[in-house]
Amino acid sequence: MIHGKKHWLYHRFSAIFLVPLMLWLIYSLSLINLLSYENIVLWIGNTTNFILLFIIIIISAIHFQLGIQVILEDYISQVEKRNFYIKFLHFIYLIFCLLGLSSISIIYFGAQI
Amino acid sequence: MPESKSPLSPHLQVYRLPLVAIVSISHRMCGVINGLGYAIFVIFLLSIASGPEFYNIIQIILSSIYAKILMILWVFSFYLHLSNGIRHLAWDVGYGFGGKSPLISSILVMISTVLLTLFTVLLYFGT
Repeated sequence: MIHGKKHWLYHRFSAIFLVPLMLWLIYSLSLINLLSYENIVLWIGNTTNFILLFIIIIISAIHFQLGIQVILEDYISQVEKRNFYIKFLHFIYLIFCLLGLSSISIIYFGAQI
Repeated sequence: MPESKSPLSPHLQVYRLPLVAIVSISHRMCGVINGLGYAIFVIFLLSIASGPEFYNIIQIILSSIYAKILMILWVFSFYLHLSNGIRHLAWDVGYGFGGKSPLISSILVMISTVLLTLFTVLLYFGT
């Protein structure tokens, strides 16, 4: 777990990076029909989209882990219980992050063949 | 179990909150909702990676009216967190504290959230 000054800085910097990245992601996804399998495979198959999506999945997982840590620190006063929930959620989001990264890698490299 | 010495945050049900406080707590709530949205988005990506057969199931769910409402709510929650996050970044460097500034910026956050949501919804469902 990250504490104090480092936590604060990482939280702000991840936020600054996510602003343009997420605006781009939502704009870009709103232009394609999400109901079409081929459309999404083509979209992730584009190298620029793939790289940006890869970065977004990592940074937003970090940003969420930092944010949820602040909330749990504010609302759970028992230190052991608090740390357990923080570590538990960090673990869950690490798993989701890895699942997301491997999914888009499978789609990207599948689309290149 | 050892108790931490820092005070607990106020319990929200007790007070009738002013607008500034509503926007402020919405930031955290939307952060959590966006985190859930992240998990759902990963499941969506996983279904595509699993092939067209799996994606068919997601497709049926996505085309329902409930999924559409949830997507709009998620986009709204995302834009609220983004707009208010920018306000937080301004506060972090020392801007926007004096007099009516917090109230004015709260109203600006609401306007920008609604406009960005409308823009995205029209773009997605209009094309």
